[in-house]
Amino acid sequence: MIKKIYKLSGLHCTSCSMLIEGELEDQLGVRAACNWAKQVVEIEGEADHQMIVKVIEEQGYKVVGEA
Amino acid sequence: MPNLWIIFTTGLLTGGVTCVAVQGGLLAGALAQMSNVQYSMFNKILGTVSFLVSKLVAYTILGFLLGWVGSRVQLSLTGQGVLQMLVAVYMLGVGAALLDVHPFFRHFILQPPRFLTRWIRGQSKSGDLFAPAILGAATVFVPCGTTQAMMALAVGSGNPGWGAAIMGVFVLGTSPVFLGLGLAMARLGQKVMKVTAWAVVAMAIWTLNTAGVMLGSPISIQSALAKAECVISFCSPVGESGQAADQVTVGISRAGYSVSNAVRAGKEIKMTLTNTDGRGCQQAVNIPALGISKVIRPGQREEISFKAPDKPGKLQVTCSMGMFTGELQVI
Repeated sequence: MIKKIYKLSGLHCTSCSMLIEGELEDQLGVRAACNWAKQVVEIEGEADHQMIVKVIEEQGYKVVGEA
Repeated sequence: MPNLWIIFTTGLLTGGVTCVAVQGGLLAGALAQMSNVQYSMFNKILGTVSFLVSKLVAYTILGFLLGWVGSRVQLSLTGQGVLQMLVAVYMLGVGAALLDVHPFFRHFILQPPRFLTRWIRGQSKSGDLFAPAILGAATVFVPCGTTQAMMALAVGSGNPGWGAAIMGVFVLGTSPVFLGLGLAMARLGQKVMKVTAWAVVAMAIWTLNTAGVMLGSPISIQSALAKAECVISFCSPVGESGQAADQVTVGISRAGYSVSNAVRAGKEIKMTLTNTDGRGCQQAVNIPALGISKVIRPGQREEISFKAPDKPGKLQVTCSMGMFTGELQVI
């Protein structure tokens, strides 16, 4: 199982991490664990990089790089 | 105790940004599942109202429990002061996190466990008639940062009734945006978040002030305002005009406490506490430095005696919630 970690910016509360997890899991069918304090999201499963960035940025957050 | 209007306004602002971001999406998902063509609009309104009502009931009960927890801690005025101090520090941390002062402060906002958020998302897709109502109640498990600050405030109130009022009023404030009335608010996003954060910081500072008063600190917003009033009105603060006695009267009224005169250091003092129309927390008169706590009902009077400290100084007189204060001069 492929695991990727993305660094994010623009999260201002735990609600944001819940939102990101929800959208990634609902739209891409991956398993997502977003850590608000560290501002990273760990994604488990097959998903295209561009799609991941698109889903996250649609919610109003930035992907600043991969860890 | 911060003003319930401030708490409602904070809810109004917060609802627009953080609550609707997550909970709005969940509610919309639930409504989309249950709206068959025939009753689509009616279902949407009914679903939204049932979501809001059950959320309000759930948070009011939560506030009641949090206030009860706070009341268990309050064995003495010092206990209350320490609790308020902890609540104030926590709220300052949440405010700093919302203002993104430093990544460290993000740890103040607790992230709910993932299994809960997944269960709640599952609820929103269930298509169950009662899904919106269940969702509304379940939001107590996924509180946003500002909600967590209000929960701390409810604990700090140390009173189940106050706790319920704080959480109920706050959630009422977050409700309009779910009815589509505050959609413009939701779009303001970051600006509104900053205002919400500063509201949390302001409440934290007031709570810190309350803690200080309860712990007998001579420095407080109330004493600063009293001094400022004295400067403006050229009054001479009680005691500084040289008269001190072994008897003193503390008048208790709606306005708070009025101390008749200064007392002499080291002497046995007779204090008469007279309550004319003080119906709120003023009835619970405390002099933290002397460990004195008395409840004087309106229309009642009571005499107490104590030995004044040997060292001259100012003793704080405060109500049980640190809102009303007075100053007893020892010279």
